[in-house]
Amino acid sequence: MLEVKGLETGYKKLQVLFGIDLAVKESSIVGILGPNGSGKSTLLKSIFGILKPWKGEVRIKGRNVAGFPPKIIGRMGVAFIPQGRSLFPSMTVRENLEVASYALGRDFGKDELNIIREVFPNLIDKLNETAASLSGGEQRMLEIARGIMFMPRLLLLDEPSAGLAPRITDSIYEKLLMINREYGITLLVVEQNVYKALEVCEEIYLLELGRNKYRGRASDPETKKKVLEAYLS
Amino acid sequence: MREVIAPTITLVTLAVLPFFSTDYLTTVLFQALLWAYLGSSWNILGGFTGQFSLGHAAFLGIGAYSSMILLSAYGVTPWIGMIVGGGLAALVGAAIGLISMRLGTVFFALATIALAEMMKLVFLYLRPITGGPLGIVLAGGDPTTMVFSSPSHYYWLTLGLLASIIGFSYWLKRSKFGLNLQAIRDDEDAAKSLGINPLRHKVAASGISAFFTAIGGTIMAQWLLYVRPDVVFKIDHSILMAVTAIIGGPYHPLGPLLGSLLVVPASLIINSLLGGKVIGLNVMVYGFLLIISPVFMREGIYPWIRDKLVRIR
Repeated sequence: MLEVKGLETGYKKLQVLFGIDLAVKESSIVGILGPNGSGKSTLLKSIFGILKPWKGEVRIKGRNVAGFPPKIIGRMGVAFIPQGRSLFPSMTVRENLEVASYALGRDFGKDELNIIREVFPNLIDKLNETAASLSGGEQRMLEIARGIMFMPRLLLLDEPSAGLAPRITDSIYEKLLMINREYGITLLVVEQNVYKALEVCEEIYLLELGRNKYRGRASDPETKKKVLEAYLS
Repeated sequence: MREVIAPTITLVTLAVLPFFSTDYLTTVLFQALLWAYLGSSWNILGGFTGQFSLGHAAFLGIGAYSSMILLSAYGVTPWIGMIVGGGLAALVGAAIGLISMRLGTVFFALATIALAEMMKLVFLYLRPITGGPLGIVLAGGDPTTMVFSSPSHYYWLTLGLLASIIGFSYWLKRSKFGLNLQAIRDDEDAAKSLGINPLRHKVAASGISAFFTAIGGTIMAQWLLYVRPDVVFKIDHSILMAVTAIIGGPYHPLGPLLGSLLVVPASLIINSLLGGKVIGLNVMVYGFLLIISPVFMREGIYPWIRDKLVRIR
């Protein structure tokens, strides 16, 4: 589904990633972990084309899309949910969904509403309420709804648990697992909540200072050891 | 469907009012409607797009002067002149936006104040065309040159314009373009990350807003039958346009009308009661209202009244 090879990038003159490799299988759930400043968010942004890769390849379904703009990558079935504050607070839930649809050059109609009804039925009741009036968890759900309404094949999520209470985090991940199971959408998740990531992901990539540090199955006790070491050292 | 009820009832009520009112009262209401129209024009940029202009008097003046000059020097009727003035104002509005909007909302507000002051000086000094400080005076006219004998005719003309801009605002609020404008107002960075080009949208909104404002300028000139730099390029006008929208409800198409029906008659009453003793008292009242209304009603009076009405029903 997604393959990243020797990816290097950064902001202006500051290099952040020094050759990252990543391989994400179709319909899997992969977590990216690492301490602050290890380049997790930068990696997602450069996969989605918000940041231009300096070197290396980003292959989606075998095609190298490194350097393509977000719009094109979006049309190839990739959706990106940035870390917080991507909603328009004074606009209604429906308007938030519509404006995102139009930006992709698509209409917001019955099909999209049906997908949202299946995954987030509680949002359907609040279509005419402003985004600002939603709870933190509902706002996160709206952001995810905006990402999945066109049925992407790959969903990139930057810290979906950030700023949420543990109980809300659980319900968000329940939804994400359901999206993965029911629709086969591949999830690539950046998480700072280590235990949650180890619990839901199948495979974990550990980054450190812009390089791959470790890769392993989440169920492997060695993975847990390495991850905790990285955070505690 | 439910969305149409409130504006229809309001506009129909306003349309029959002159039959039951004196000429004086109609004149007061005419002014309220004219400011409602101007406030609605301002609101396309200020309310929907979140770009705070304090110099919309510039566009008002361009509209007033364009149709006046065309009529007095070339005999072109203001019915056509107002469109020409609108077009000119749209160009100026887009240009000032293009120059100052990249620098942020505060700079845009300052640049618009400067624009209106600059316009006042330009029109003062271009004496051969504008008549300088004496301006242009109309000797008279008839409906073909947009001069009417009764205030109720001005009233209905303005009401028609108001109805069209309210209709336009409703359409804009739901349209793709308008949703993008509102997204930019709420969070420019988030809008950008969706692929919306904020500058292009803001510049377009500025042009559209200026176009409608200029048409209001023509109405004002045809009502006064004269135009002078100090009468049209007045910062009070710029502020009043913003005040009607902000107090009435900048996020809603009916907000500026509500704000204007409240503020304009009130300030006329204040002026006629105390104007001789305390000059500028009405401006102080605007200021006071501007300070307290965001504190108690962040989105203006409109949502507050709507919620009350819904509860009664």
